[in-house]
This record gives sequence, structure tokens and C-alpha cells, in this order.
Amino acid sequence: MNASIAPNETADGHRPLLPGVRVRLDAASCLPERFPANTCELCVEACPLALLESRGGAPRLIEAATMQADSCIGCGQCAAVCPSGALHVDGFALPAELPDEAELLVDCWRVPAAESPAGTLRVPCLGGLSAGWLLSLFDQSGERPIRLLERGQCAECPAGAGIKSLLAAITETRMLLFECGVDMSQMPMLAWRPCHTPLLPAIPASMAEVPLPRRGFFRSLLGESLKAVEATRPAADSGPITLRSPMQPLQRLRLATALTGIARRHDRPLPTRILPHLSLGACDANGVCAAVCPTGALQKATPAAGQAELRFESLRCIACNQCARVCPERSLRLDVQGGEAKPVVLASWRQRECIRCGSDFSDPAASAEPASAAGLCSTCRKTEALSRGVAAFLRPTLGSDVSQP
Amino acid sequence: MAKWGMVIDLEKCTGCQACSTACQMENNRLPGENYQDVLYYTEGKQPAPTLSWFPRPCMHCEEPSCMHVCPTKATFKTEDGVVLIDWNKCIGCKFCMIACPYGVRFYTDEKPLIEPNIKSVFKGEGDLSWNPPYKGPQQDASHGVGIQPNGVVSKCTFCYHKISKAPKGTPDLSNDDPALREFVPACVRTCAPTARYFGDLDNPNSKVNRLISAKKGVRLLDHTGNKPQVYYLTGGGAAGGAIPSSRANDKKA
Repeated sequence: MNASIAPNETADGHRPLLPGVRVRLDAASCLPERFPANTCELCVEACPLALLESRGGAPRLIEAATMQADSCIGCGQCAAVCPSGALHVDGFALPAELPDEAELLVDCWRVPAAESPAGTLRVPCLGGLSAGWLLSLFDQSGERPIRLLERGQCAECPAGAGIKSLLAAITETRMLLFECGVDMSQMPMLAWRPCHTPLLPAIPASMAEVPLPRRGFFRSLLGESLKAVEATRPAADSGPITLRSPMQPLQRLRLATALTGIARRHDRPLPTRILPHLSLGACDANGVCAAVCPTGALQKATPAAGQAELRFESLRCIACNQCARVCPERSLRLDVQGGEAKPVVLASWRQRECIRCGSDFSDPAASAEPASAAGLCSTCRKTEALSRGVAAFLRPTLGSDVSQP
Repeated sequence: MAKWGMVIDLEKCTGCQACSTACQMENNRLPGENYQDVLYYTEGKQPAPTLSWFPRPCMHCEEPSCMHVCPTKATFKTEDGVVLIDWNKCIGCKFCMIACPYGVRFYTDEKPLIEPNIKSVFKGEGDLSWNPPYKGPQQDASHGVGIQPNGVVSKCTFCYHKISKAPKGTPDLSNDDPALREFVPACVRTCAPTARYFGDLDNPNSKVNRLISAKKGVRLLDHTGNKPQVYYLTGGGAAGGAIPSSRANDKKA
């Protein structure tokens, strides 16, 4: 559970939505797929071509008669907004070795390579950039200023709606960097560099198709190797997805890692903007919240024999609110910001052995004395109540003096 | 479509627990985690207390509270009225165990109830919790039938692997008809005093329906609104009949 293990871009377990489509999905990480009552439709709303629908589960491409696999242009805007990293679009990986320029330029794949200044980072669409991506680049480049090249042709591009999400990502990034104490001039910003040559007709399918003057050759090699990996991957429907193991919220971890590094460098605390805060009221120690947490941010831990505690790790939390939604006592409250960077212990319980069935259960009362019903687990308490009720119900004449043997 | 239900005649039940044992064998359960048990309790005070008992299977409610709370919709009700768990979807959060008013759901992964841990002696392959030396051929994780995987909640399925194969439109599944015996749930099949009946509650001519109406079958904890599909025959000693309510009024009159 270490936020610093965030890999740059990992897509294991992601399968194309349809053969040949550039958007890949890891259904086990998709919130509505895990929890049918979850109504997250951020990807559906983000798609500039309105090609996605969710129907109360993982997103899929709309099955229209005119719909072809190449209708999806691979702009990556759906993946940029996905809170759990369930969607993935290739082409947004940061290169292992960044250019040496003082200013990092980011350009769109549709711009002819010759038009991009030397050392420019190229991505399929700027709309597919998230705050996590920008912060990660900022962190890895040693806090060099990032200039996102605006080519003046987004309005005519089918993915043009993405400029809005790009602006949102930049604003979010700048606010986080401001809280970290980064100088305004170093922050990422849009740079107006109109492109006068015509753009490529569409976003190329991969970097291999983009002739690049410098590192393109190596990039294309990487692309080929990714394709080879792709070919050996099992088919999309190879058995049911496993929901019992927590997923890795890679996007979230990437953002947290980058921001932790930046904040530490500037000697500031981690901005509470990105730290969800969880508060707990009266608790019955059932641990349902910890069991449903999709990322393992909320955990029931046993620090010592006979003890249990509810531990919350804000850095892993994607604020899906599922814990608060399932709490049987309605005692949890999630605020999207204002938490602490360190793991917090929300409650401590005493682990007891049920005197009837012998199973371990958590007693919400931390005192040494058994809380209620003489040390019975909740199921055995229920059984006892049922026996009492049945006796009174079936044989009302005998009175209600019932005891268990 | 059928709506399977069970009738348990408490006047006939001898509390022998053959049903619990049969359930354990049929569903590869260990002692203490069989899908149904017999609850014993004492009534009255010294010097003349009496021991009473009643079997407690899953009630397969018409309005299962366990199903309504399930965050992954792993618990579902089949068209023929059986409440099942899809083990592929269950994440073992145990909310259903809190919601169930009857306490008939099991989560067995935390601690072995008997030592030595039999499940570690017969280790299961892959995700399965164990590999019992004797096991049935049925294994259907999407209906919660067979050996359970690790980390899921399990419960009585009305022996879904048997009853789902019964011919359509059968009013009753009982030992009386040799052709139907293999479709009878294990607890009903094994019940020596024939205190259990199993049949279609939607069929007005089924034996279960006739017994419920003739002997004023009652449902446990009816005030919860769960509407169990397991009825108990009490020999007329009950405080109130379950359905229809008019019959309960008749009795008071």
C-alpha cells in the first residue's frame, strides 16, 4: 500500500472495447461494473463523438448500424476522466527519457511532425491529458515549465470538445501546484502556436504511423513491442472478472506520487484538495465498508492479536463514496477534500471469539467487558432472538421464558 | 413459472438433524457451516422445562432483504423463486448477513470452526476453498452451487442443482413419486418422519399449498415483510396464521 509504486502507464488487464478499437477497458476496475448502483458515466459524458453508453455497467461502444470500429478516433478523453483507471488509450505514456529543452512542449498527433519543434512530446490529443499526467510530467522533468501547443484548429477537429477538459485539467494542475508553492511562471499553460500547414486527416492509429524526426524511431519500436504483447494477450472474454481483489487506481497513484514529490521539494504539505476525508459516526464494527472499498483505501486491519481497526488511506481513495453508500448504520461521510496524507485510524475494535459458534467478530465497544448479549457474534445473537421469538410465536401459552441450552 | 417453497411440519419433526447432515453431504459443507440447522431451545421454567426445536433453512423470501442490500447485485432471485448467490460477483462484504433476519448466511473464511482445519488438509484447487474427498458433480459458481470459492458468502440453494432439473410444471417434488426423487432437495429427501414437503407455491393444487391452507401454515418473522417461502405447520398452536389473513381471523372467532 505504497503510493510511490505508481508505474508510468500500465495496461495489463485492459482489453479493447471492440477488436481494433483504441480504447481499452479493464472491467474489474470500472465502478458501475463492480457496483451496479454506481452511476458513474464520466467517460460517456467525456466522449466528444458520443460513442459510449453504459447501461448500468461498464461502458461500451454504441451499437449503431453505421458504427464501425474506426469511428473511435482514440483521443483518450474518456480515459483521462476515468476516476478508477478502468479505461486506457495508448499513446499517452511518458517517454523514459525526456527531452532536454528548458520548456517542454506538448503537441497533437494530427500536427505534421515537421511542424512540431524538436524535442516536442507528442500525444494523440491534448484533450486526453489529465491533471495526473501533467503533474507526472512536471515532476519527472524536474519542474520544467510545460507548454501545451494550441494549434488553432481544435474547433474543426472531431475531438475538439476536449479543449474544455484540457482547460479543466490545466486549472486543476495549476491550483495544486499553487498550493505546493510552485512559481506561476513554471506552471503548465496553453501556448498559442497556430499551425499553418494542413493537419493530418485524423489522429494516426499509433506513433508508428507518425514520422518523427528524433526519438520517433525508438518510440515506434516501443509501439511494435506493445503490439506484440497485445497479440499474445488472451481474448476479451476469458472467464469472469474477479471483483474480490482490490484494483490498483493507477491514475490516482500517479497523481499522488507526483504531487507528493513536488510538495516535498517545496517543503509544503500535500494539498488537501486531492485528499478525501472520511468521518465515522456510531459504528457497529461490521466492516462492510472496508470489504466493498474497490481500491483498498479503507481496510480492516489487525494491528495486534485481539484487536482490529478501521484504517483509511486517503492517497488511495478515489472518492467513489461506495463505503458511505453501503454502511448499514449510515455512519460514514465522505468529503472529497480535506483529508490527511497519512493513513488514519477511524475506529478500533476488540476482536472476540463468539462464545457459541467460536468465530471471531469485532466488538465495537473497546472495553474489556463483552458489549452485549454475553459475547455472541451478530449471527448467533440473531439465532437466539429467533428462537425466543419462535417460542412465543408458536406456543404462546407457555410464556416467553426461553433460554438456549 | 414455479415458485418453489417448503413446508416443515413441526408436529412431525423429531429434531434428528438428518436434514442438516444430508445438506452437509450434498453441498460439501463442514460441520457448523451446513446450509440448514435445527435450533433447540427450552420453554418453561424448572421443574418442568421442555426442549423444543425447529429446523432453519434459508427462507428464500419473496422480498429478500439480503438481495436488496447487496452492493454488487450478487444475490438474486431466480424466476422460480429461489434466492441464490452469484459467487463470481460476491465480494464477501457480508452486508447480506447483517440484513438477513434469519441468520442463514455463512462466511466461513475467517476461522476454521473445527480443528484441525479440514480445508487445509484437503486443499482446494485454484480459487476453491477446499477439495473434499467426496463431492457431487455439480459445480456452478454463478448460482452458488457446489464447493464455494474463498472469500464469498454462501447459503442454502434449495438444492438448486436438483430442483432446476425437475420437469416443468411439476406441482410437488417428493419421495412419493420415484421418477421425481432425484430432483428432491437433500433435506426433504432424507427426512425420516417426512416432516418436510417441497413444491410449487404458485400451483393451487400442490400439496404444499393444500397443507398450508388446511393446517394454517405460518411464516417466521412475518412482520419483517420478507415473506418467506418456507412455511411451518404448528398443529394450530400458533398465535396467528400467516396467509391469507382472513383465515387467521377465522381462527380467533
